[in-house]
Amino acid sequence: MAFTEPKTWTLGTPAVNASDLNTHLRDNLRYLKGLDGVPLIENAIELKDKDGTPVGNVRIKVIDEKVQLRNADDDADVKIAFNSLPTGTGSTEVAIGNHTH
Amino acid sequence: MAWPNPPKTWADDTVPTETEFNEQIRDALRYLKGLDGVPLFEDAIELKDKDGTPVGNLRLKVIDEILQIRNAADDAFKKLKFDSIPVGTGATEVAQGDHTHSLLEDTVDVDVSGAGTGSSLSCYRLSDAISPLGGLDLASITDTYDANSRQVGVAVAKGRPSASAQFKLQLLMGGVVVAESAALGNVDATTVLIYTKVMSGSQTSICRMYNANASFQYIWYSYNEAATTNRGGAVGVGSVRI
Repeated sequence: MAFTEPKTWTLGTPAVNASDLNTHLRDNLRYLKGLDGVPLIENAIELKDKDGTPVGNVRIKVIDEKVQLRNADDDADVKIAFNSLPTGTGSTEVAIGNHTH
Repeated sequence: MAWPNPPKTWADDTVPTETEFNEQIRDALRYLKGLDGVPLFEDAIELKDKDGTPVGNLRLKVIDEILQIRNAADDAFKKLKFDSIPVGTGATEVAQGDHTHSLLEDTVDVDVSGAGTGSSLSCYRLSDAISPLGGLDLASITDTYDANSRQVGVAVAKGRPSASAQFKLQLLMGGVVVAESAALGNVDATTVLIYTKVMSGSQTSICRMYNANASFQYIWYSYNEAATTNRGGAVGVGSVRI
């Protein structure tokens, strides 16, 4: 199911009905959890720096079909951990910077 | 709109107001959907392995401003898919592991001994007297090399030292003796030295005949019927760069 624009509750409407809760609460929560397909996030997502002495949160955003990692404060490009890169000498690996020939 | 911090803890028999519903449900959902800005996740986020035979879920976490990809079960580092990495030879690309480099010519230069001005010309054979423990530079070249270049130097000499001489052919590259022959015999022969070296900037290479004796010694070069002749020496350097 698709995400439904969350309802704005107003005075005078029936307090709560089953249909509203199913559509706006259950289905939207299922959507965000990915239970009904790939959840589309309308913006970047920001991950909190979990180090004991954090340096800065990182945002993962898409620009022109490319994933970008940016500092949450100043939008500067930041890095992926080296250990998360497939390094080696194969054709589907990337070379370590200090490699030799 | 901001995330309702913290989300309300509901108690029995509480009648929620429309304001509470809007904050706790509508605004929170809009926040998580990213409709009102960048949603901040307080911890890593975990993505389920969607393969038909899944191996393990992955977590994206940030440590010291660096994104890490970790296995959800044991927190081991996992990789970004190779096809998601900008690979190439550009300044903003990373190199493939099995990449190669092309070698380009940097410089090539040769110097051959010039016309003889030796100490004597006897029987049309030019000879040089070389000082004790001194050297005579038969040929010399000076070139400027690229910072990422490699050189191969060659020194060649042909001649016949005097019987008691202890002449040794030397190849100098960058002002340093990098190769030296054994003492040349009292026969007319050609001697070749070759050496590889890493040099950059302006450097001089020399083919030098060195007199290891403590007295003057002579070397005769090839027979020539002309009134003048050339010394029998040459130096060459080939340089390649990435």
